[in-house]
Order: sequence, then structure tokens, then C-alpha cells
Amino acid sequence: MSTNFFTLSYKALYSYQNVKTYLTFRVLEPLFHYLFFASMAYYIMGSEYLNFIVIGNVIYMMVHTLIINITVMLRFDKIYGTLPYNIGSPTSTLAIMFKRLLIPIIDTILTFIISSLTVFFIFNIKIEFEMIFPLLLLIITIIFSLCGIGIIISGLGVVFKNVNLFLNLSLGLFQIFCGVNFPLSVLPNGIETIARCIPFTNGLLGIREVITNSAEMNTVLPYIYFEISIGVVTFIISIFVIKTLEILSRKKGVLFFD
Amino acid sequence: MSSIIKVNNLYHEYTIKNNGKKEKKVALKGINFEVKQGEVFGLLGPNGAGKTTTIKILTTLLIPKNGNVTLLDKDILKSPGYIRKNINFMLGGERGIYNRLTPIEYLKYFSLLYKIKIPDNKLMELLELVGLEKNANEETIGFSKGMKQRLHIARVLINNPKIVFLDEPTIGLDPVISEEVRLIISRLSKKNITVILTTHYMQEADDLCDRIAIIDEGEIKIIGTPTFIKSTHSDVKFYEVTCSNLDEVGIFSVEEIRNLAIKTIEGGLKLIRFEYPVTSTIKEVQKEINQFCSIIKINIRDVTLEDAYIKLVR
Amino acid sequence: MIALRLLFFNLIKFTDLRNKFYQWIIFCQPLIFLTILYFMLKVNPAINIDKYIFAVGIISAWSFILYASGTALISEKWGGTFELILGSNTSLFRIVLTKSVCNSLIGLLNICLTILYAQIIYGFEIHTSNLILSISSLIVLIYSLISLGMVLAVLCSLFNNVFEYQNLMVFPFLILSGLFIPVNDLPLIFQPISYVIPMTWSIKSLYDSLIGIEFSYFYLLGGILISSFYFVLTYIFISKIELIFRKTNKIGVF
Repeated sequence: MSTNFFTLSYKALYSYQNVKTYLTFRVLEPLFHYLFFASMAYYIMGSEYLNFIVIGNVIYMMVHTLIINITVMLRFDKIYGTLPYNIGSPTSTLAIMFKRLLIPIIDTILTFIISSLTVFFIFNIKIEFEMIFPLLLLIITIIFSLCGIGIIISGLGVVFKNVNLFLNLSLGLFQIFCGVNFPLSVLPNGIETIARCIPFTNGLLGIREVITNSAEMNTVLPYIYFEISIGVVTFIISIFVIKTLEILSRKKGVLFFD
Repeated sequence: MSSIIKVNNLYHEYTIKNNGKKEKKVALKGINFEVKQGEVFGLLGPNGAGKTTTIKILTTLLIPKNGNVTLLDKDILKSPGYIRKNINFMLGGERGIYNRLTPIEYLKYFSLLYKIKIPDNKLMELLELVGLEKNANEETIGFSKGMKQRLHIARVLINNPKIVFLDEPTIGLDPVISEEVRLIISRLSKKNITVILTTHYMQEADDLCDRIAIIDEGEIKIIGTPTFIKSTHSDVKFYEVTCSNLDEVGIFSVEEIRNLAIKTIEGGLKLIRFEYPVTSTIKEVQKEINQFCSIIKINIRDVTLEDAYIKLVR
Repeated sequence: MIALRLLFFNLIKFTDLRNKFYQWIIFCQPLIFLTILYFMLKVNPAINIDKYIFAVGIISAWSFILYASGTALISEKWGGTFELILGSNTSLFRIVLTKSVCNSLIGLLNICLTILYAQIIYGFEIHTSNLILSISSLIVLIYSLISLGMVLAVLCSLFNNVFEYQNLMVFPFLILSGLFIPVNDLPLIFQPISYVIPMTWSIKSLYDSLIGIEFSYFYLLGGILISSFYFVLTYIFISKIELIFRKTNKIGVF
């Protein structure tokens, strides 16, 4: 019996408990998503944007997986009625959330690997060997910068009865402002500047440079630095938000709402 | 014996929405009580009286608007970490269990959260205490309510707590399982663990609790031993009379008879139940009743905790 | 008359617009898709936008129907009311039908709201070459969505983790129904599947009426026929479910 925090949290809270279900939801669901947005882009923007959209959506699906998984962990605790027992333990809420991050992170990386294979077979988008290292760095930085956002949304789920609206809205805004479905250049000037300060935007720009233009490490380093800086800021904000929400939830007694 | 819990002037209010308008609802109106080490202390009261709010505050899950609460000589606001290490709680009902985990895994998970290393044989001991040792490696998804309640009790003991809070531990359980849970609770008190118990079952409270506080509309109405509570409300005795030829109008006109209930039973006989002042003897009561019916049988019963409770919160 | 009163009751009492997920689908999702469409059109402004605005509306309408009608039957079981409605004088088919009609009307509201957003917020002008045919196509589309809602009510009761499988169903139906890719451009193997989906016919009919190419009543009629076929099919299935439930006290896996 494996009894560390990682395996117990996985077994207790994760939706996909076997390989068959995991693959169904990590192969088919992203594939349908890519096909839908690819068809939309193909018929509206033209065939030259097909790879652009597919790469954007592969990385978006990664973000989607990460944020949803971080969010649902506390949400499931609320549904199962286990949240008060977790929060009432000597381990702080933040520590519980950090300890649980490993599962969504592994799932996110696996989603990227599976999706890379899918788009290679369906859209013929290849990842060359020399791209792996810069891509890996970019993906890790995106995951780092988005963990903070996931923690914030998850924390909101503790205080509010239903976090779905925040969650879907955040994911929708990522689709619009991070250059997933169209180039950032079509955004109005001011908004484009703001978009470049959102987690995930710079990482995605870097990934496109690597896959589309075979950019080398020194070309993508500025994107990595920028993404890490934004990640540090969101992480600090997330710690502050969780601490505040923890106090707020204890003042309002909202841990017990379904 | 020293007080392990001291509650002083505890006040709490919630903001609730009523037809879209925000309203303040006072849950606790400045309550005071103390609990001694090793005591089983009952918190009784109707739904919405403030019992669960009190438990949530004492378990550090809720910050009160006002008042002082100390557990183990530590303030709940200043030392929640220390308090959490030394207490544990269950909130009643069958929720609060991870369906896919086995009892052993469930206990292991919480031992990690309580930052304690517990060998598997100790976990098995806990499961034996609650009678779940045979189900130790089964997923809890198929567990009955009673099994889930017992697993909660095992979880509550994971950190060797000095105080445990049990919020309606027998709610929704059948009588046999309820009795088993009550046995487990009484075993806890023998281990010098302080138990704070809320329940709607008066007999349970009477059997288990050393002292009881009856709380209603955010106020403590009475506090003391079950015997004390019953004695303070024994100004009446409870009579049950089987009779024939009952003059219903006449019997209702007797001033001393209170809370009269009449039921028709087999053979056209009547069963009447009523309260009569404790100052009258049974012979006097019999004489009075005989004016309105032919008595076949008369029974007298003592005040129960339920009688006292109903009088207090009615 | 009873059906109408049931429908009215469903619309007033059971359409939970306070549900955050439904709020998202009805009010926010069209905004997100319209914004994506708006910026995509900045890349290629020459394109005919009318049908894509309707496409965004249909995405939201479909999402709503998928989740709301998809759980119409099973939510009764979750809520403990399935036994009660089964024991009533009204047939289960009629009850599910009124729920599906109610959800499809909300779907229509979705489409109207999307058009309103498109005009007011994004300044899109929407044209149709034949208003009567467009409205007729929309009516057939709603009829198709009702029938599809009925199928979903039955289908979704077969899955244990229904919400996750609903997530899996969102895009394939939209792809296959020719919302963005014309069915004729799909690989041959998928084309028959497309035509089995009732809304494929009405979407084609709607797009033709908007663009103004030669309108064929074949698609309009096809939409009506295939949807009617699904009504018959669900009637048979729901009768079977009723029977199985009486024998096993279970619907699907529950």
C-alpha cells in the first residue's frame, strides 16, 4: 500500500483513476478541441493560420488541464464534505494546496506530451529533437506562472458557493488575451501591452518561436525571463490571497456550503 | 479539576440573504460555559439554536465576532495551530469521507495532515475500536451510514486528541448502530478524553453526558448535570391512565391537569396522558380523575430529560 | 393543455438561471466566442460573417441543451423525484419532452442574445437574403434541438460520470454538424454520421438562407424528418427505461 500524500490525494480526489479513462479524456477531449478551433480558424482566417491555432490550443489545453485540476481539488473536498477536516487540521490550507500541486503538474506535462503526438499525426506538426530543451523550459515556466492563478481560483472556490463562473471566465480570457486563437497584434495597442503581462502569453510566444521558427535558446530566453517574473508575482499574490481567504472563510463560516 | 475549555461571553452573527436582502442573524448571544478535563459535555438545543456554530468556533474553523474562548489554556484566535494539534472533530452526517480511499488510507491521509507518523498496527487498533477492522482495506464507497460515522470516530482519534467534538454522531443511524457508537463514545471518556457532544436524542445525552447545556436562540437556558436539569423541572409528574366511561368535557375543565392527551384504545377504552403538580399524591390524583371516568389502570412516570428540554425550549 | 402547463412550469420553476454554469453558457460564453470571432475577422475581414454569428449562438444553444437536457432524466433520480414522476398520471416521455422543449427555448434565447451582443457590443451588421426561410430554418433547428435533447436525456443516463462525458460530447457534434466545416468537406467516412445528427440539416438550411445561395427545401424537410425519427426512437427508449426502472429501481448505471 502506497501511502504518501501524493498517492493518497490522487486516489481520493482525481477524476481519472485508470489508464483507459485517462487516455479517453486526455486524447479525445483535446483532439476534439483542436479540431474545432482548427476548423474555425481554417474557414475564417485561412489555411495559413492552421498551425498557429493548433499550437496555441495545444498549450491552451495544457493551461486548461492545470487550472481545472488545481481548482477541482478543493472543490471536490467541498463536495465530499472533507474540506472542514482538511482545513481544521494543523497543516495550513496553503501547504495542502502546494502539496497537491504535483498531481496537476504531472497531468499537465502528460497532456502536452500526448497532445504533441496527436497533432503530429493529425496536423503534421513536428517537434524536432533540438526543440525539446527550450520547449521543456518554456512549459515549466508556463506551469510555474499559472500555478499561482490556479491557487487563487481554487481559493475563491472555498469562499464562494460556486467557482465555475470564475474558472470558465478565466479560461475564456486566456483564450482571448494570450494569443491562442489569433495573433496578439490584432488586439488594440493598450490591450496588447496588458496581454503581454498576463501569465502564459510570453510562454506561448516563445513556444511558437521554437516550433514555427526553430528558434534557439537565446531567442526564447527573454520570454522565459518574462514568464518567470510574472509567475513570481502571481505566486506572491496567490499566497496573499489564500491567507486572506482563509481568514475570510473562518470569519464567514463558508467552509460548510455545498 | 481544571477547566480545559473556557467560553466567555461568546457572540457570533451571520449575514444571511432573505429575498435578496442582506440580514444579520445572531447565532450566539454571548454565551458562557466551562468544560472540565475528561468530562462528556452535551450541547443540546433545537435546529438553529447555535450548537454547531459553537462547535465550529471551538474547533477554530470559525472566528467569533466577540468573546473569549480558551482551549487547553490557549486562546483560539492566538494559537489555532496548537489547539488543532490537540483536538479533533466530526461534524455529523455521512459526508466527509473520501469514497475511493480505504479506511486505512483515509486514516493515513489525515495522519499526514496532522503531521504524525502512525504505524499500520496502530491504525488497525483504531479501526478495531470502532469495529471496522474487517473492512480496513475496502473502499468506503459502499459503506453504510453507520460505518462512515464509525470511521469518522476513528479519524477523530488519529492525533490522540485531548478534546473531541462530536456533532450529532448518531444522526440517521439505526438503534443498534447508535448504541455501538454510544459505547465507543463512553469508552473515550474513560480514557480521560474530553468529549463535547451535540445531539437531538435526549436519552443519548442523559446516558452519556456528565453535564449538559441546553441552548436555544443563541442563549444557554440551563447548564448542569442531567439529574440537576431534570430536578429543576420536576414541578409536575406524568400520569398515564387507562379508563372507561370518560367525560371528556369534564376532565378538560380540571385546572391542575396540564397537557392532556386522549387516545382511544382496544375495547372502546381510553388512554389519557397528563401532567399533574408534584405536590399532589397519587391517591389525590386518582380521586380527582375518578370523578370523570372509571379507572382501570394508572401509571406514574418520572421527569425525563426530554420533558425538561421541551419545557425549556417550547 | 397539461403539456403546455408543464412547459410553463418548467420554464418558470425549473430553469435555474442562478446556476453559475448556466449563467456562464447563456450570458458569458457567447461573449468569449464573439470576441474570438471579432479578432479572427481582423485577420481576414473579407469573410461573410452572418453565418458565423449564428454559429456562435448555436454553440451556446447546443452547450446548454447538452448539459441541461442531458441531465433531465438523471437529475430526477439524483433528486429522489424520479419515483414520484413515474408514479404520476403523466407519461415519462411527456415530462422529458416538456423539459427538452423548455431547454430548447432557452437555446433559442441563447441565439437571440448572441445576435444582440453581436450588434450592440461588436457592431456587426447581420443580413439575411430571405428572412422567412431563415426563421423557418431556425424553427426547424429548435425542433432538431428538442429531439436531440430527448436523445441526450436517455443517453446521458447511461454514464456514471455524466458531466465528464458531456464535456467530451461538446465539440464532436459541433464539428460534424457543419457549423464551421461544410459537411461536404469532411472526410467521406464522417459524412453519413453528420447527416444522422438532426441539427446538421437545419444548420445547412439556415446558412443557405443567410448567404442567399439557391435554397433547397430538401434540408429543411430532412431536418424535420430526422428529428421526428428521434422522437419515435426516444419514445421507445423511455418506455423501456420506465419498465427497467420498475424491475431494477435503476436508470442506466444509477
